[in-house]
Amino acid sequence: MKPIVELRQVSKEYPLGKLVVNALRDVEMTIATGEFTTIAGPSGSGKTTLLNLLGCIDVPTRGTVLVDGQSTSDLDDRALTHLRLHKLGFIFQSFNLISVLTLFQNVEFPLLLQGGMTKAERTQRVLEMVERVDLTPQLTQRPNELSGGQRQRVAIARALVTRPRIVLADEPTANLDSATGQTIIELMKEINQSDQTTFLFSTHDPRVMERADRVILLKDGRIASLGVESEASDSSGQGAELGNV
Amino acid sequence: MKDLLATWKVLVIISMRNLRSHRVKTLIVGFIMFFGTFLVVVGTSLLDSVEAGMTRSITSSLAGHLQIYSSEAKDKLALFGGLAFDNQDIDTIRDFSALKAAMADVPNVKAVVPLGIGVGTGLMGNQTDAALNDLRLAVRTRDAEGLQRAIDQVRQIAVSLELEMKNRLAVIETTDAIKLELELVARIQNDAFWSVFTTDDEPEAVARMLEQLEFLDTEIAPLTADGRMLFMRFFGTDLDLFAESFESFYIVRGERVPERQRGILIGDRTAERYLKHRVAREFDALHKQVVQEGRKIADSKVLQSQVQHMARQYNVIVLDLSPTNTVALTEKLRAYLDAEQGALLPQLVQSFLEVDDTTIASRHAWFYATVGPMIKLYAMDVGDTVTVRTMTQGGFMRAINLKVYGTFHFRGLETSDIAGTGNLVDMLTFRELYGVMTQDQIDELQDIRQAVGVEDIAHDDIEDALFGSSDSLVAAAVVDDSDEADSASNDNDNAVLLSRDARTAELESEVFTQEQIDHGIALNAAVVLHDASDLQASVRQVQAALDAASLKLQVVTWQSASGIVGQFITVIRLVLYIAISIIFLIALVIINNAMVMATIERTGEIGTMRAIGGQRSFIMTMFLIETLVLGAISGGLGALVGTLTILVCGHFGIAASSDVLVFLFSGPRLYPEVGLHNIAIAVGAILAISVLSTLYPARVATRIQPVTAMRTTE
Ligand SMILES: Nc1ncnc2c1ncn2[C@@H]1O[C@H](COP(=O)(O)OP(=O)(O)OP(=O)(O)O)[C@@H](O)[C@H]1O
Ligand SMILES: [Mg+2]
Repeated sequence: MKPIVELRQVSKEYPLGKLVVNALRDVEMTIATGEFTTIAGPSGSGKTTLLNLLGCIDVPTRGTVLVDGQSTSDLDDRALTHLRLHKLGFIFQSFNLISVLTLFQNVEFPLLLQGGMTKAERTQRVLEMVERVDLTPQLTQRPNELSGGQRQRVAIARALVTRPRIVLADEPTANLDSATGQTIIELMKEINQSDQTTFLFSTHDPRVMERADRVILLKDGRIASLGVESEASDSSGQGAELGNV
Repeated sequence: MKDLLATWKVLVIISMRNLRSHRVKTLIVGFIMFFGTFLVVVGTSLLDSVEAGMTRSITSSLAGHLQIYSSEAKDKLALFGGLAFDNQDIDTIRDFSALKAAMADVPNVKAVVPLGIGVGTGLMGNQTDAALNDLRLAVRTRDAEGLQRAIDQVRQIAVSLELEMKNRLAVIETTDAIKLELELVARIQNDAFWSVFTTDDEPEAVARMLEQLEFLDTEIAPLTADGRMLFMRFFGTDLDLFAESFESFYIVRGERVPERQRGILIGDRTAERYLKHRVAREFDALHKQVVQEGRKIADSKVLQSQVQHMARQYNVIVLDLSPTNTVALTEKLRAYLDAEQGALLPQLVQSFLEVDDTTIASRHAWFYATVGPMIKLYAMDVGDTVTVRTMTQGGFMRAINLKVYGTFHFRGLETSDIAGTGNLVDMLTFRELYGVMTQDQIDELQDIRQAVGVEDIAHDDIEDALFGSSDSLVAAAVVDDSDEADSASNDNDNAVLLSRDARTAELESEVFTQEQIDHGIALNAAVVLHDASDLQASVRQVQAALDAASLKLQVVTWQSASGIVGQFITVIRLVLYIAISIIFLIALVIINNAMVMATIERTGEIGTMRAIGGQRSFIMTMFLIETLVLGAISGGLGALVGTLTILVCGHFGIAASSDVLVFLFSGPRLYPEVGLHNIAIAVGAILAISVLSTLYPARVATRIQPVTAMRTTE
C-alpha cells in the first residue's frame, strides 16, 4: 500500500534549561493507507511528540517527515495549516470541542474552514457523519450537554467530516471510563474497516492496544518494536507493561 | 474562506459567547464606546449647528462674508474686539470708491459695504436741559406765555430736586456738599430770581436774563441726576447699503435715516439697557421673570427686594412729570388704586409700584399705557438729537449733533449684547468723528489758508483750523471743541440764545450724493457674496481684483476677521476632539487589556482551531469581529441615542441662557440638526478604535501554536 506518512531518521530535541531532552531519536516509520495503528509506550516515551510531528503541528530537529509524500520542513505555517485542514484529522484527549457551538456547528466547523462547498453539500456531509457516530438526536445540543463519550464521538465526526487521509488521536480514551473508551475504539475500528480510513492513535490502555492492527512501541524516544496485527494482540499489552517497569 | 455567510455566522456566535462570558468587561467597554459615539454625534452636531448659527449671526449682521482692510495695518482686524480692544491700528482704506470700483468686476461679490468703528460718548439733553432750552427760546422770541410755562417747568424741577436732596440728607452723613446744593436750589425757588424774566427788549434787562440763564446752565443743570453721558461704540457705514446688504438688520422703533442723510441709529439693546427709564427697565425685568419665566414674587426674596427697590424709585417718575401731568397722574392713580382723596403723588406712585404676583401683569400694562406717555421713557429717544463726542486721530475733541432716527436690531440676536450694543452712523459723520480729511476738506483747508494768509499750518493745526472754522460745512456739525463749561462763558450772547435745535436743523436736512459717501476713507469694508460656499476661492478672487487695481488692501474671511469670537468654535471643537480622543484612548487601553486576557484564557480553543486547520487570518478575523460586534452594538446604540437627542433638541430647541449663547445660537434657541456626516464620523471613529484595540491581542492570538491543542485539558 502507498505510505501516507513516513518518518526518516527523525529526531526531536526540546531545550530544557541548559539540558536538551531527546524526545525522539532517529525514528524510522511508515504508515500505509487503511492501517489502524497504535503508538504505545510509557509516559515520556515520546508518543505525543511523534503524533505532533506527523500532525504537522511541530517540526523535527533532524530528519524528514513526509506527509502524503511532501516534506513538512519545506512548508511554511500557512502551507502546514492548509495541509492539516485538508489531509489530516485530529482527535484530542480532552475532546477540544468549541463549547459555544452546537454539535452540528462543531462538526461543520472544518468544512467552513475549507470552504468551497454549498450549504446543502455541507449539511449532507455533516448529517451523514453525525449519523455514523450515532448522535443525530443530539444535533442541536452543545458540548456541555453531552457526556464524555458523546463528546469524543462528536470529535471523531469533526475529524472525519473532511475525509482526511489519516486521523491522528493522542490518547483518545484517556479521559473516558474504560467501557466508554472501548466503544470509542470500536467506533474508530468500524469506520476504519468500512471506509478504509487510516487511524494512528496513542494509548496507555492495554485493552485499547488489543484492538489495533499494529502496535508501535516507543521507549525513551526510540521504537522498541514495530508490531504487526498478529503480534500486537499477543504481546503489546505485556510490552507496554514491561515498558513501564 | 469562501463560505462567508456561514463562517461569519460561526464567528459572530463565538464573539457573542466571548462577550457574554466577560460580562463586566463587555459592559464597561460597551459603555465607553456608547458614550464615545454619543458624544461624537451630539458634540459634532451641536458644534456644526452652532457654527452655522454663528456664521449666520456674523455674516448677516455686520461682517459679511469677507472683510477688506489695509494691507499696511499693524494689527489684525478684529471686528468684535481682540486683545487690543477698540484700540487696534488697522490703518485705513484711503479711498473707498476705488475699492468699490474694483469690486464691481468680481462676479461673486453682491455688495461691498464701507465700515468704520469708533468709540465716543453720547451726550443727551436731560429734562433740565430741555426746560432751559424752552426758557432760552421763550426769551429769544419774547414769548410771554412760553416764558411762564418754561419758568413753571424749571421751578417744578427745583421742587423735585429739593425733595430728593432732603431725602438724601436724611441718609447720608457727609452733608456739607448737599447743603450747598440746597442753597443753590433755594435761590431759584425764590420769586425774585424769576422776576427778571420779562419780554423786555431793553439791553439791560436782556443782560440780566442772560446772567440768570447762565446760572441755571452752570449751577443748576449739573445737579440733575439724569444728565447722561453714554459710552458709545459706533459703526460708520453707508446706512442705505448696510440696510440692504445685511438681511438680519431691521428697524425696531422709528425709521431708517433718510437716504443719504446724516443721522444715527441706536442699537435697540443699548436703548433698552442703558437709555430706558430706570423704573420702566426694572418693571420690565420683573415682568419678564414673573410673567414669562413663571417665578413667584411671593416665593422669592430676590424678587421681593427687586420690587421694593423699584418702588423706592417713585421719585424718578415724580420728577419727570410736568405740572399738568402731575395733576393728571395723581387723579388717575387715585382712581386706579382706589385711594383716598388726600393721597399724594409720591405715595401713590410708590404703592402702585409695590406689585405682587396678581397685580404685576395689569400694572405693567397700565404703566406703559398711562405713565409711559407722561415721562421720558428713553433718555435718548427716536427724534432726539444726541451730541456724539470723540477724540480724533489728531487728538482733538470732536463733537457732532446727530438726530436719532430709530433703533435697530439684528434678527435672531435681539437679546444678545455682543451684536446689539453698537450704534450706526452715516459715513460722513464717521469720517468727521474719526478726524481724517476728505479731498473736499483738504481743498477747503486750502481756501482757509488763503483766507488766513498762512502758508504752512502745522499738521496738528490742520484739523483744528478746519473743524474749528465757524462757517464751514463741517463746523456746523460741531457743538464745541473744548470742554463745555469753559466754552459757555466764552460764547457770545447770541450763541447762548441760539438753541441747539436751530444749530443742527441745517445739518440734518442736508442730502449727500452717493459720490460723497463713497469718496473718502473707511477703516474696513464688508463684502457680501452671492455664493459663500467656497470662501477661500472668493478670497483669492477678491484679492486678485484688489491687486489688479493696485490697492494696498487685503481680504480675509469673516472667521479670521471676527477675532476671538471667530476662533471660539475652533477652540470648542478642539476641546471636544480632545475629550473624545481621551475617551477613545481609554476604551482602546481597556479593550486591549481585556482582549489580551481573553486570549490567554482561550489559548486552548485557539490552539485547537489552528490544529484542525484554521489559518492565522481566521483567528485575526475572529478577534476583529468580536470587537466590531461590540463596537457596532454599543456604538450603534450611542449613535442612535445621540441622534435622537439631537432630534429632540432640534424639535424643542435649546434655550440660550446667556448673551454669548444667543450670539452663538444666532437666536434665543438653538435648533440643532444631525447630519449623516456626524453619524459617519462617529461610526468611523468606533470602527477605527475597534480595529486598533484588537491589533495587539489578535497578534498575540495568532502566535498561539497549534501544539497547545494537544496539551489542553477540559
Ligand atoms: N515542549 C516540551 N519541552 C520540553 N520537553 C518536552 C516538551 N514536550 C515533551 N517534552 C519531553 O519530551 C519527552 C517526550 O514527551 P511526550 O509528551 O512525547 O511523551 P509521551 O509519551 O506523550 O508521554 P505521556 O504518556 O505522559 O503523554 C518527555 O521527556 C517530555 O518531558
Ligand atoms: Mg503524551
